Amino acid sequence: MGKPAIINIIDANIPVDQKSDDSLIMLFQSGDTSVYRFLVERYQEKVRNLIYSIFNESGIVDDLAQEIFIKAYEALPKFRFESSFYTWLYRIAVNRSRDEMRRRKVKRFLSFHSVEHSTNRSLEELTSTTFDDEQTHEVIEKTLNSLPEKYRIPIILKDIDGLSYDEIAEVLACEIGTVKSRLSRGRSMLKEKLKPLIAGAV
Amino acid sequence: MNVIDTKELDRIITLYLDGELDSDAVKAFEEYIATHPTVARDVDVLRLAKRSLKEGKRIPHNDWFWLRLSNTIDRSESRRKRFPARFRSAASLAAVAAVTISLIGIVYLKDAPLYQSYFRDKKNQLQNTLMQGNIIPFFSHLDKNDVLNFALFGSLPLDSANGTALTVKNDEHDGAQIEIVRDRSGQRLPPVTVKEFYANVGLHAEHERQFVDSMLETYTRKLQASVLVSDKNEIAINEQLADLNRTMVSSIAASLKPTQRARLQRLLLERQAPYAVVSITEPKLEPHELRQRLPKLPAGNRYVVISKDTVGFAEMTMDVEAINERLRRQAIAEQQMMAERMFKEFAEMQRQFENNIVISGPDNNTIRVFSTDKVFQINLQPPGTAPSYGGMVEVVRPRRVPPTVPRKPLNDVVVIDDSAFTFELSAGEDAVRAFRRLPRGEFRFEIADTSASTPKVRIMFKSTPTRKEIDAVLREMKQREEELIDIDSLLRENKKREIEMLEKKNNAGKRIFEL
Repeated sequence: MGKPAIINIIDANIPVDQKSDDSLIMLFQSGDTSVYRFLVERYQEKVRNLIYSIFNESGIVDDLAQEIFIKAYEALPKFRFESSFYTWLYRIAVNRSRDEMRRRKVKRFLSFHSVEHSTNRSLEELTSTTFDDEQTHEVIEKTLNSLPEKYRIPIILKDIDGLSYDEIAEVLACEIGTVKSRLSRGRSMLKEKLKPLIAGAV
Repeated sequence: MNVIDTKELDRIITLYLDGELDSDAVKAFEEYIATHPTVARDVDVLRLAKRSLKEGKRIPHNDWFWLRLSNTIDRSESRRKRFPARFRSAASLAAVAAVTISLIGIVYLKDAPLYQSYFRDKKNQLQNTLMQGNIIPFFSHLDKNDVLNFALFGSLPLDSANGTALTVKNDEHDGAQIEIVRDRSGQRLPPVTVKEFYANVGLHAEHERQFVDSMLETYTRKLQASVLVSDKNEIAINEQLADLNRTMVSSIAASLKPTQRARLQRLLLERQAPYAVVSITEPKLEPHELRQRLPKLPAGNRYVVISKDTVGFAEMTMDVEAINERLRRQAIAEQQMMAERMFKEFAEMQRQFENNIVISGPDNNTIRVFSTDKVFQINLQPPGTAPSYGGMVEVVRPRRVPPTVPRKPLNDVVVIDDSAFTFELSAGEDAVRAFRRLPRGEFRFEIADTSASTPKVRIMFKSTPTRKEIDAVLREMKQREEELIDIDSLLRENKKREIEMLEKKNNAGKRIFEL
C-alpha cells in the first residue's frame, strides 16, 4: 500500500474528527500534530481492552496504553501506509505487551512466585460451585490466561478483537499459515483445559 | 467425512468456528459432528469460549486518557525542543558522572552535608512523582463573582446542589485552616455578585470598577493555580491558600475611599465575613503608596497533596494558562464528568482520614489533617499562632467567626516527618527492643534514636508511605510488642522455676547435711 495522495482532495470538506485514519496521518505528517487526538480517541478503547485481555488486570492498562500511544506518536512521522493504522498500532501494542510479559517473567523468577499456582487455585475455587454466565466467563478467561503467550495472543486478537487472519498476521508479523496453526493449537489446548471445568455449562 | 487425525480435526474446528470454511466443507463437517458426539462436544466448548470472550467484560472508559497523554507528549516535545538530540547522549553521560560523583562523595568522604543534600534531592524527586499524570485546576470555571466571594468570605462553592464549599481562614484562635465543608446550605447566606458589591460599596466611577475588575482577574489565575486535581485522584492545595483571601480583601479595601471603606465594613459585618476593616480612615496613605505596602500575593509553590491514602508535600510550578487552554479544547460534558468523579473520589478520601494526621513540614511547621462526615480539614498552622504580615500595612483584621463544625481533639495522632519520609511513633521500651530483634533489610523501617526519655521508633520508607503501609507497620508493632511480652513472661517463669529448683536442691542439701 503506497501513500494515498488523493485522499486529501477527496475528503477535504469532511470535518477533521470524521476524516479517515490515512487522512489524519497525512495531516499529522504535514505538521498538524493536533489531529493525533482523533486517532487516539478512535483507538484508545481498543488498545486499552487489548491490554486488559492480555494481562487481565486493570492496574496496568492505562500506563501501558499511554506508552503505546507515545511510541506511536513518535513513530507516526515515519508511517509508510503499508498497512492500516490500527494493525500497525496493534503491532506496537502487542510488542510492548510482550516486553512487559518478559519483564514480569524475570521478576517472577527472581521472587520465586508462581502465577501458575495462583491461577489453578482460583480456578478450583471458581469451579467448586454451580456456574452462571459470569463465572463461566471468568473460568474461560483464566484458562485462556494460562495458555502460552504464543497461542493466547492470536486467540485474543481473533475472538475478542475480531481481527481477520490477514490482520492478525500483520500484527504478529508472521504468515497466515502460522496464524491458523497457532489458533488451532491454542484452541485445542484451551478445549482440553476447559472440558473438565465447564462440564455443566455446555 | 471419514476418520480425521486430531491435528487436522483441530484445524477444521478452528476454520469452522471462524467461518472460514466454504459451504460444502461446512455441510460435510456438520454431518461429521452429528455422528461424532465427542467432537460435537469439543465444538460446543470452543463455541461457548468464543462467544464468552467476545461478549466478555470490558475495562471502563477513562475520561482522562487523552488529557494525560497530551500532557506527556507536550512535556517530551518541549524537552526535545529545549534539548536537541545531539546533546542528549552527552547529557546522559554527564548525569551518570554526576550521580557517580555524588555516590563517591557519600561513600568515601562521609560528609554529613553531602548526605543531607543527597537525601534532599532524592526526596524532591519522590515528591514530584506524587502528582504524576494529569494535573488540572480544580476551579477551572471560576467567574468574577466566585472570586469576589472568596475574597470577602473565604469560601468557594464546590458543588452548588449539595452546598459543598471550600473555605479558608487564618486567625490567632484557630490557626490557618483550609476546609472542605459539606452541606452548608443551612448556614450559608446567598453570595454577593460583583454588581451588588459595586452598588453596596458605592463604586460608581468607571476607573474604580476597572481597578477592582483587574484585581479579580489576577486573583482568578492565582486561585486556579492553588487547588489542583490529578487523574490519580489526588488533590493538591497550595499551602498559602489560607492567606490568599486576606491579601485579596486587603487590596480591595486599600483601593477604596473612606466612605466606601465604611460601606465595605458594614457589608463584611452583616455577612459574618472572616475579616473586618481595621480603620475607615487609617492608614493615611495615598492609594498607590498603600498598595505598595500591602501584603503581596503568596508566591510559594509548595502544595499539600492528599490522595485516598496518603498525605505529603510537593513542589509544583503551574502553567495555568496552558492547562486552561487544553481544558477549553476538552468538551464541557467531559469536564462535568471529571468533576462528578472527583466528588465521588473526595467522599472516599474523607472516609480514609478518620483520624488526625499530623505532617511535620520542611520548615518545622506541622500540618494537621482530619475528616468527619461534615468536614475535611487541613490545619496549616496550629491555633494560637498569630498570622505574620512581615511589616506590611494591616488593612483588614481577622474576626472571630464561630466554627462551622466541631473541632476534633488531638488524640490518636500519627506524626509524619516529611524530611526523610519517616514516621516517628512514641513506642514503649518493649516495642523498641522488639524492633531491634527484627532482621534488617526484610523490613522497611528502622529504630530511631532511643536515648530520649520517650523512645521513638522511626519507620523509614523508600517513598511516601500509603495509609495502608502505615497501618501495616502499626499492626506489626503491636504484634511484636505482644510477642515480646509473651517471651518476657516466659523468661520470668523460667527464672522463677530455676530459683525454685535451686531452693529445692539447697533444701535437699541441707537435709542431707542435717542427716
